[in-house]
Amino acid sequence: MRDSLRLVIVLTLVAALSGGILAYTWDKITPIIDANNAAALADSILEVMPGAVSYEIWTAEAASSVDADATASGTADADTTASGTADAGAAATGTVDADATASGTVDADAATSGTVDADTTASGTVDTAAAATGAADADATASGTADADATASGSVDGTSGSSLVATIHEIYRGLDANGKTAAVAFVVDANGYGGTIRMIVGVEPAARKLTQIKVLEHAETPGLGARITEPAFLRQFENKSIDDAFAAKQDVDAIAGATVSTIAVASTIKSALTEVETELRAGGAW
Amino acid sequence: MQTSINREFLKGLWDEHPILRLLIGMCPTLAVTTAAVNGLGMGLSVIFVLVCSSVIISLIRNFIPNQVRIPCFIMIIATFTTIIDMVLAAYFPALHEVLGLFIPLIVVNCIILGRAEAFACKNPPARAFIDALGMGLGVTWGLTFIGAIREIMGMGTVFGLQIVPETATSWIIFLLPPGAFFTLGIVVGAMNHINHVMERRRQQTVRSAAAGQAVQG
Repeated sequence: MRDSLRLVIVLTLVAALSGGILAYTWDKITPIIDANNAAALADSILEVMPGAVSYEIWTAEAASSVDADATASGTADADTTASGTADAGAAATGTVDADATASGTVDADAATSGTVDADTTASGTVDTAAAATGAADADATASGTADADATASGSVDGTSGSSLVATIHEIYRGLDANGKTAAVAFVVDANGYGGTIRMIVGVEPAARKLTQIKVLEHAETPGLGARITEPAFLRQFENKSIDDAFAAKQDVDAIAGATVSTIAVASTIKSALTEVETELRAGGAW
Repeated sequence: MQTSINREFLKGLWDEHPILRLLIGMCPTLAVTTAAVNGLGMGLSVIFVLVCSSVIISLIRNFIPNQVRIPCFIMIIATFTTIIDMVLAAYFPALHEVLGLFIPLIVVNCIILGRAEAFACKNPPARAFIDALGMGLGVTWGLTFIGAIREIMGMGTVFGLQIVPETATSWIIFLLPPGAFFTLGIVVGAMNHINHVMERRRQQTVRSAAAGQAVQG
């Protein structure tokens, strides 16, 4: 009994000490790490937009009225790249997906303990995660019955099977000395080989070309996929026309042994560019 | 005493080289040695964690009951690994960017637990320090050497410097996982061969010395 008590005490002591030391270090060091990261991001933003002297965060809400509200114990995804109004207010316990990239009307009504609306009026193509037929479905799986109808009077693209989904985080507008838009930069996540690759991409909208790209975070294999951070790889995107194909081994040199990482970077940039262009055009900032 | 301290230090560099003689810590060895600089960085991180944890474990070795020694060692090692990870991220972001991926791997590096178990928990702090330093340096040169070979074969560079003409075909396979096994096998084989040759020479000298004595006698 005394022996086992001693074991418990020693283990508890060691664990408490380790925990205490770690908590103290964490407490002291996180602000420094956060400050470092923020400074690094700010540097990167200006770095990929050589023409800009300052930048501001470009918000969709400010330019057009694109809303995505989730007022429930459910999740509401509303990927809208439309020049219109898109509301996805989910007042129900359920999951609501409404991907609308435009032309037509997409309605998603959930007749449960709440209403779900996803209205989009614009011109372009409609991208739905659900069905590639004429009708787009937005499913609301709720604690009850939920109906979601979507009518799209346009061309519907059912290309959602692709694993390469660009997740665009922030869009920054780079301003030159006169306060005019010199360039645009955006932070985007790609699905790499070892995890998420977070990049910042600079674009010159007027010239329709990239300025620079930079990898912010990644978890690719050292020596192989990790070479996406090397200048030799990144330089080929400088001044690249955004209308290029961005296809690995064609207009983008693939890193030997790291084709997955190369494709992830190239195709994510391509699809993100399309989305960003649509969104900025809608907001009149392109 | 002096010679035994020297021995504690030197054994990690050759005779009991953790990677190339004891063949422990194979996971990080195979995974991170795609370039010389990666091997060096991993080795330096290992030195830090190994030295700190060995000294601490040696200091508290008499308080730790035998039955719970391994959980205690792991907690100490994990604490140091996390601290070095955070400190590097805060004060040396550039270095952390290069090493960041490998540092968490140190916790599961059995070289460190192995030294804690085999040496630090049985020896006073000073000896544990010397042992850890020797072993850590052994790991460092081992990883750097393997990394350099793979980098030369796979990319034609070493520490990023082009040494093979760029026109020469580089063998990508050396950067891929199989290349790690090839390289490790060849290096371990070469080391065994060197030891074998040295042992034979030593025996010959002993024998000829004995023969000389016999003639004189």
